[in-house]
Amino acid sequence: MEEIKLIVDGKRLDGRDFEELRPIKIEAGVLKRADGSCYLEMGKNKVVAAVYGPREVHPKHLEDPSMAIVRYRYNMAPFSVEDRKRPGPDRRSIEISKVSREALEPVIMKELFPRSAIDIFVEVLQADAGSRTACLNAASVALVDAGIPMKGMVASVAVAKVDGVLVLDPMKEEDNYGEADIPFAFLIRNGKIESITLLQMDGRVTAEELRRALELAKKGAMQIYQLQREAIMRKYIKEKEVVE
Amino acid sequence: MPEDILMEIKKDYVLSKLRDGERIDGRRLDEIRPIEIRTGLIAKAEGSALVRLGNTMVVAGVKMQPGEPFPDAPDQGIIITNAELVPLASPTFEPGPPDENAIELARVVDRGIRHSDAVDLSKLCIEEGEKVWMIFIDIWALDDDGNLMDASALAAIAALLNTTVPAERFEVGDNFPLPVRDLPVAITSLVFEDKILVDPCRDELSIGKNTITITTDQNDNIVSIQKSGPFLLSEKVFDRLIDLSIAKAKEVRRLLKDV
Amino acid sequence: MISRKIVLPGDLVSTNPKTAGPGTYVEGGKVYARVLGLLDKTDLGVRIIPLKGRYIPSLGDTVIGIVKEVTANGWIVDINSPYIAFLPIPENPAMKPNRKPNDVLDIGDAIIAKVMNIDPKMKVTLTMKDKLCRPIRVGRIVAINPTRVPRVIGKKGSMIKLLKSELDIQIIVGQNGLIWLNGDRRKVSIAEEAIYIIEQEAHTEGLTDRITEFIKKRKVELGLAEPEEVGKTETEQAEVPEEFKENEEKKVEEAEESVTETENAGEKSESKAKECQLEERR
Repeated sequence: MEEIKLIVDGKRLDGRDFEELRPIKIEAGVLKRADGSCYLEMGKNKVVAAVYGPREVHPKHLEDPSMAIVRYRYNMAPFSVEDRKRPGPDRRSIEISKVSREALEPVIMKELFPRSAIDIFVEVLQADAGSRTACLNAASVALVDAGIPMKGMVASVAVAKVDGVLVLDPMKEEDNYGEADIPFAFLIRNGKIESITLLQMDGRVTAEELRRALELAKKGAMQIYQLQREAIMRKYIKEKEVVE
Repeated sequence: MPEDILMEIKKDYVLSKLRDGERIDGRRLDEIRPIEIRTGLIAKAEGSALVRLGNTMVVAGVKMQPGEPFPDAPDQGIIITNAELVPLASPTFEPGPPDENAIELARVVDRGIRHSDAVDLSKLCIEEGEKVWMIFIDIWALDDDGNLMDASALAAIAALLNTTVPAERFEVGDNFPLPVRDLPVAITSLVFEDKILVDPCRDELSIGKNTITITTDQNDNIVSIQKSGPFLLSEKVFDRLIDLSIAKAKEVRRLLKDV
Repeated sequence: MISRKIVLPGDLVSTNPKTAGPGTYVEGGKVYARVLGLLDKTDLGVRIIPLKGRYIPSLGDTVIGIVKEVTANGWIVDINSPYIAFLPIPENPAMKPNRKPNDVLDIGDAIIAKVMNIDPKMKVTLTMKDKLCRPIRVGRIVAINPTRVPRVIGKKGSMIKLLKSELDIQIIVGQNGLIWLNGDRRKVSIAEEAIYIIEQEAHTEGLTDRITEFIKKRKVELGLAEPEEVGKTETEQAEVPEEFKENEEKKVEEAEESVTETENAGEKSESKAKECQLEERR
């Protein structure tokens, strides 16, 4: 196989520094019917998230008498990738949906809404590497926009190892030909990273590299958190109340 | 899903023991249950292994056949991993297509094998761009007493070690042992507050199915991680998990050397 | 003049756990916001006024609901919430021994009721044993985001009073974001438009004045008032103008009643907020 150089003269193929995120664009409250929503671009990823609930649980037997159930559906549009993707959940989507839901569940105050459901739907309209992180970032904004009580916000970003170097927020080529991909998500509260809510990894790294990857991801997540906040503020700034 | 009320009942007991740093079966927090590996028990399969991890029991079978390579890897063999949580293994498993738990199990096992380059796929090319060997790893859970993940990963690599490529049956040369060059080992730990319970049994999972699986190769590289379960993982615990998982995997890997 | 700033989940709002009020949570001795909202912080306490969210029933709330099902024991009522409510037979004063439940209230009927009980599993029970409660046979129901209900009611019911006095209509506000309007068709339409403005517009200064102006303008446009009245009331602002005081006196008793009731509803939600506060402290 032809050797592909992912780092040339200390820069990445798209000209970024190792610790630089792709351009991110976030808009909160883009869907009329949903309780909360968000459109997000992260590099070439274009995703839209919607939150419905808390609402009645259907089917009824899924109800939990002590807390809300959280459902998360990560779904890729057939046109989101080079070769048309067959519609519907594949194994990858099912796994992503599971770990993403588990990343949000401990942040959502489920116990406030027994016997109800909080549904999070994220559609990938255009996919590049890191679509699961883009989706989580959008979902977090949509949850806030829906007025769902939460401990804080979730920001997500991956770190990759390419040509022996750790880089933040890998794009397609780095993901395909890199040595490792490590998606993270964090609970961020009051501008501080509190804990890890999503962690996956495949590839090959040393323990020391893994520790450095965590530090790099935290830096990236903090920047994303600021952008998420700004997006929500932009939508709600007119709500700022002036009282005597 | 039928509720397993016995789990609820066990919860208090587990928590109470844990407060004193003890486990209900008397193990140390970082102690893995006794492991038994038997290979070659399915004569019809190209390779097979049965793994017991305490009372948890899993059988993995390997079937191989020639197939078309992926366009981006025309000279590489293909691995396809599947897991079935069949209803005989637990009162909570239901018949039907693999659910998210079965899919996650299969995908995590697959990543461990794939990213450790356990199988030398370049030696599984029959005719470049036309025909390569496809390896189907099927993981069958037989008894779920907790931590199917590690038992399945172990059964998968043990079955691969036991696999003979059936070239003669497909008239593409002589049979040869599957070229296995690494031994990935998955270590799953239950995280409860700041405590780490390696290889949790079913009753212990009553306090929350909050686990981390870290798979390492024989050079102590980390090749796969999966946080599973709705919980907040502190950086401190994660940091401890890294070295702990590497150390525990070494212990388990010794058993594989005898396979 | 101070401004209430917007806070997001996880924002630190106080370091005194004793002040934690609705919309906050306490962890490690610190008080954080748990919802997107406006920060309302005083010496007594800190609470977050939510900007979004569904209606979650609370004891004593006045709600407007639609009957979904009739059973032998009572009526199942949709109250625009994740939780369906139940109105037991004995809680409907219109129910007499010789009447069948579906003769009294049938599927699709709208009612004004009060939340009588909520169990820990959020089973909601309603009552109609209150003078405010009634089946809705006339008028119109308007739906707004439930978090905007306090705005429509206004401080001590001021906004509702304004709508009622300016338009001479009956209004009952359900805490669940459904509002019943009854009276002259065009006046009800003006009220509905005004309610949507209140729902949309920021909690900025002078909203009351703007609504007053809006109503005057629309009344003129629909031929319900003479143009010169507009100028007069603009200077008088929220004061009830003479011309309408006459109408006010002629108003049906029922409408009067609901003015006071909505006031009460507003106050009740305030005292309720205090209850919550206490609960969260525990």
